[in-house]
Amino acid sequence: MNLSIASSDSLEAIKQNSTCPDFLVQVLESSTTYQKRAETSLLSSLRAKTNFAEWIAALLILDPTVLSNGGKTSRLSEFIIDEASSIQNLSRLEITVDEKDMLDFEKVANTPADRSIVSVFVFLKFVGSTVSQARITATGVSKSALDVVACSSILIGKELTTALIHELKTKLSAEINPPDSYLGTSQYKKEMAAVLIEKIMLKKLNGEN
Amino acid sequence: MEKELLLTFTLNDEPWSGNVDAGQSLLDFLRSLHLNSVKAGCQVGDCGVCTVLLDGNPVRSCLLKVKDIQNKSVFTLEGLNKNGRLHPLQESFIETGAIQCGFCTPAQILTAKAFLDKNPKPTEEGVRSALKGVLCRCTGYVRIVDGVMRAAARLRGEKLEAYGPLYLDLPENCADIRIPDAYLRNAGSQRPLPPLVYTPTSMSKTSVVNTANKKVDAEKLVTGKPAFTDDFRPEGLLFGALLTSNIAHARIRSINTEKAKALPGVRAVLTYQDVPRVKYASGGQSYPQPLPYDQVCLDNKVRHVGDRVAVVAADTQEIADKALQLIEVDYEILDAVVDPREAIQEGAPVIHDEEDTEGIFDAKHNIVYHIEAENGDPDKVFAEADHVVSGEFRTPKQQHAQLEPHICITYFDPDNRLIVLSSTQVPYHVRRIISPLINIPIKNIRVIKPRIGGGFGGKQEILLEDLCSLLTIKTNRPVRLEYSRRQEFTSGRTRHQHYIHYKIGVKNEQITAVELKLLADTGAYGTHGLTTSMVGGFKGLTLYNALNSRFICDVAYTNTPTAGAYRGYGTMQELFALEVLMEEIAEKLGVDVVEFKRKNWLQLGEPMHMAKKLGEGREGFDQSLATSGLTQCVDIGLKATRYYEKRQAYKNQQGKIHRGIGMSIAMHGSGIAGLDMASATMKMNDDGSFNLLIGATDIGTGSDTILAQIAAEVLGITVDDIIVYSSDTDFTPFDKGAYASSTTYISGGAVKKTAETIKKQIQEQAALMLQWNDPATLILKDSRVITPQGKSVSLKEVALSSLHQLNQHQIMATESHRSYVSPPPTAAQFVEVAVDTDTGEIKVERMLMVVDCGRVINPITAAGQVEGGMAQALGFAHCEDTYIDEKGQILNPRFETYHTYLANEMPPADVIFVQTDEPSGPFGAKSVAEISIDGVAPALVNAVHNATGAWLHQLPLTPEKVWKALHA
Repeated sequence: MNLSIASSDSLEAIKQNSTCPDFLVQVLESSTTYQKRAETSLLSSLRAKTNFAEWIAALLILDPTVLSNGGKTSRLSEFIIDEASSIQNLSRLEITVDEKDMLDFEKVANTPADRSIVSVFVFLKFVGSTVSQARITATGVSKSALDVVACSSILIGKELTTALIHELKTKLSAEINPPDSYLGTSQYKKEMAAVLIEKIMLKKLNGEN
Repeated sequence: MEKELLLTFTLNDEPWSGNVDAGQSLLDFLRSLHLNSVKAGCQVGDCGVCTVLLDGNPVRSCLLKVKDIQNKSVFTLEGLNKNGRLHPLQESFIETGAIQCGFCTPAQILTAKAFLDKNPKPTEEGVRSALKGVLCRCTGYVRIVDGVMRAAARLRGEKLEAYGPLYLDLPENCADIRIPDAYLRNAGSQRPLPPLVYTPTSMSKTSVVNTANKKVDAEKLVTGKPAFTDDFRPEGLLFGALLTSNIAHARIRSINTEKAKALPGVRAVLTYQDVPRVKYASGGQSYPQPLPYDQVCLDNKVRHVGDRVAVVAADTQEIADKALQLIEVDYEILDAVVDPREAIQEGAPVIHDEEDTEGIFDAKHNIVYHIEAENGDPDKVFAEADHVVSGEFRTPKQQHAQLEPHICITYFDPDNRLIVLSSTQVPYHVRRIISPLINIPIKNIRVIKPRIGGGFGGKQEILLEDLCSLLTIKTNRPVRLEYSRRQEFTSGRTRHQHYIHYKIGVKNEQITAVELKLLADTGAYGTHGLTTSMVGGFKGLTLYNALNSRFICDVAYTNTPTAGAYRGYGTMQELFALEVLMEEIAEKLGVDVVEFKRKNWLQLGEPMHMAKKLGEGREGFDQSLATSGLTQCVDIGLKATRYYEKRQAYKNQQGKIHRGIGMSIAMHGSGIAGLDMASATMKMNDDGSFNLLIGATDIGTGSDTILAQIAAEVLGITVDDIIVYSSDTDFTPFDKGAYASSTTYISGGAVKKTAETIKKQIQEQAALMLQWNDPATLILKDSRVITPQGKSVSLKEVALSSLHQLNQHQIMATESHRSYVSPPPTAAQFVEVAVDTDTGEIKVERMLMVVDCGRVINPITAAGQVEGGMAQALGFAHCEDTYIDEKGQILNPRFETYHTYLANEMPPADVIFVQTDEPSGPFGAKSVAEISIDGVAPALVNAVHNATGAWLHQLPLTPEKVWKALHA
């Protein structure tokens, strides 16, 4: 499935696009309101990294191709971290999703619709039963979406097992250092990041996603 | 002006063009065009009540600039009514009772319209998701969602059944009670259900009372007509702005206002140096308010972040806001204390060290009130008890979060009398309390209350009226003063945070002694600290009414925003602790908790042992329970939730998601015994209609409607023939205001008496006309006066006769009412949850409250009260708290961070009424507004215990607290 988004497209228009993956629809539904989606363009959402952390975290695991105004192409993960890039130059995002890819997210929040305390997003591509590509992002553990590259890398070339999931949990806890806030202590957030990644991976292992 | 722009756009399907300030917010621009349906709730995009449609999509007008709508189409609620007919969404909102205060209604309707335009056959889930961007604090979203689904069906051309409550007879034997299938929710349906009303067959029939009459103000609110304070802007209006402290505790060494005063457009700047130092208390209570009077309009000391420092009036809001930034304040910063447990310790900073405040119990230890009350011999009986169980509990500093901020407009009328237009629950108290502060006699002040966009107790305070009046006096100009949303959090009022210690003695499964120790945090000022605590003590010791009871309470000052009146008023905090501890005791004793409670709860006719000792701020009156439907409420709830079956099923659950069910009981009051007084005036018009003039304050509850129903029932007419005018100190008679669950019972009593006097006058006039010599035997029915033989005259004929022909006089009356009892409504609350044991997250799957509020005057508006009450209580129990750091700064002072339940996460909130016939109430009515909030917290905690085995004593139940309890 291919989704091409112009920088001026509103998030509501993206959600209504028939080729928008269910995963992105769910993320938009759970993390934004109708009003927010109608008002906000893709470009604005990428600028507002704190307000749209979950949306950005979801995009980052898809790591779409960025078409810049000057004709240059890059990946979103590079584009966002590249200090030299001006987000202003973003023209389009090209998202490609293979139906066999695993896309999932989990969050912890005070109530089902409250802002998340911690959320974790996972993309896995398999060759056979082996993970060939992986991307893991999280929110609530830093100012905006965090691309946990070190966690993704330990999955590559391996089969999902409970032992690997355990290793991944430990790694994720070690990789993040969330701040205390009124939403939760640092310790709780670290624990929850591990719990969420385990939930997602166990669902995959048990064939539930 | 940022930059002038020639703006061209389409407004409500009509072209519009003109020069505008490009930088003006769309919200301000639309309101400047008198499009009053567009409301300002937070101005930062969090609440959604400013929603309009831009090219058919819902957007928050407070976040958009005028330049953003160039060549686009803007649609507001006013655009829906151009053909003079209501849109199906508006019709449905009226029918279902989706409108309470009405402040969010335009935004809800527009959002729903945008959604239905694209989704004509929506799912309920879809509707909830679409509406989640518009907050509602009154309804719990139940009737709003119902209204949108009904409107969708209407727009599809489907035939709709009449909407209304379901009435069933209540059998004498509880075992024979039949619960309709829908109310069992066996299939897991989330669909909103209309209220179910059980009535004992022995109760007399009524024709207007106990019907779902549409709200008398519904059409005005659903069409967005000017109704709220900010919708009325006099000529020459100045805009006020309030400078508040950013420091929790400091003395003001000096304030330099020169730069602010020099700013062009600034008309007045007031500080403590400019206003007389008159001591007062801001709580809107009856005369005399309890001491201490620990406030002055503007002080040389600040006691919390958000405390008043200075106030400005200017030609525009922008200039006023800019002037605030130019005021230079030199603070001597003092140590602050934000925890009441520390505030009362030796050596803590003294918050009220001023010498001119009288009546603080122990100022050096920040104890504003100390209360002790005792009955019997608790110590002796504790010593003799089989079991003595105790527990410590903590409740949160919950925000009212009403969507209309506090707002006031003041001006002098042509007779040089001060008009105070205010969003207040207590217009008469406002007039009395501000008079000495502004040095204008009461007779020269007129307070008018327009519609109010939610109050919940937060507007039972005098927060802006004095300052706004002082600005008008200074400038001789109309002035508008409004809290920003941030000031609502920092300068408004909150629920009192309570630290509660209960000790309960049990012998032979009977509660023989109870001790309740309470530490209440009143924040920087005392206001309602005494009365909320006494009410909490009384209710917390009366539900089970142990003969041997003791109440010991300290109310502490802290350097935090002041606590005040809040729906539930002390009771909900104490009942939370009590009802959780009762469950713990039952578990310890190995007995069924429901049966344990049944053996101990207050019985019919039983004297309330603490009623006299714990009045509200003074000695109370002896009372006993005259009516109670508690047994039936509990039994119906047990059946409707299949409580026992589920409790059994939830034992030894496997997996990570554990389900649980919990219950609690509650008892509240109806007005303040021997204190609350209300009055009403009625007069008859030429056409047989009546003006009903009442001081009672409809804050969105529907009280104008139910008071009209009471009058209509007495006079044999419909509500359509009653014109209600409420809350204007010049034109309506005294009423203490909207608080203490008093309006239906006390104000309703006054209206009933007044209508009965009018009825008598009509009978006498009709008897003359009909040459009938026994007026009392004439019957008033269907707008006619009828002899037993069937001869009749119409009310119109009676009116014309009395005004123009025979024994000429104006048929009119004024009556007052008060009561020396405060009959308790009773209720059983049930909550079902799913707990994620990995994360500690709680998902509430259903709430059900079965309520005895006497005779239900209007089942739809009453159900709205219960649904909204449950929603607020769920926030209190689950997610709402004001987080304050050690320096007194609030960490979550906006709706984005202070989360209230949204439309897409509200569980079903079902309401069942069990009618009783309270002899002292109008047509048997008791109150309903506050009982609705009392039961959710303990039922939720008990449900979580049922699910997980963990006991939680500190609210709100955040995931981390639950998770820690599970991993302790």
